[in-house]
Amino acid sequence: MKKNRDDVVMFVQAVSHHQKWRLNPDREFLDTLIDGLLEKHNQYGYFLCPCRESWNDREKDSDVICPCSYAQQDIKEFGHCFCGLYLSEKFLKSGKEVEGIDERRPLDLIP
Amino acid sequence: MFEYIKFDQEKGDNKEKDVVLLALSTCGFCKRAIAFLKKNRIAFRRVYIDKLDPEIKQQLKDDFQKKFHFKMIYPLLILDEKETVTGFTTEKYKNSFGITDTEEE
Repeated sequence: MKKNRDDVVMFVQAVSHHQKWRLNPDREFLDTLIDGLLEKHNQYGYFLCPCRESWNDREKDSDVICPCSYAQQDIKEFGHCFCGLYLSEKFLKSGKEVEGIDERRPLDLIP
Repeated sequence: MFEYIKFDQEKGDNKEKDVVLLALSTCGFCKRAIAFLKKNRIAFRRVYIDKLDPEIKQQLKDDFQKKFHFKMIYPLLILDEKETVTGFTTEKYKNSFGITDTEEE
């Protein structure tokens, strides 16, 4: 079923609340990711990470469906997830801007 | 390289390097990479991988893999057809183009 932008906003808010993460406070950056998640969802049927490519197969993409399997570790180590959507409370308070981090996904799982 | 890809050409005064950016249209760091190149007036060619026809995309991936021997992670910058920069950090990009803080200001 197709989703709209409000659905995506509710989804990321629910995830961040549940995980005790924070959403990226940079409005423009956040909007890009929300629009990206919406586009991916309506293309593939699930919230594929907006910074990763799809295999066009839900099972093979399962580790990078938002929140991805690597988010917890990345947030712990770098303060934010791979795409920069979710931040730790500490990182948010630091006022730092998110920067690209190394891909934790094993190479053989990348399309 | 990648002659079969229809790149979007971004104009800029700095043409010291042949710059190709492979990006995803939905990725925040890809947008940051594009903004950095534009702000620093670097001429580059850009393509959104997720907007390519699947067959063309596969050909590009195969050719990339053959030449560089690693998987594509975005944003992916290719400089002078030989050097690659994966992911975006301001520092990595500054270093790649020899941009100092003074110059950027």
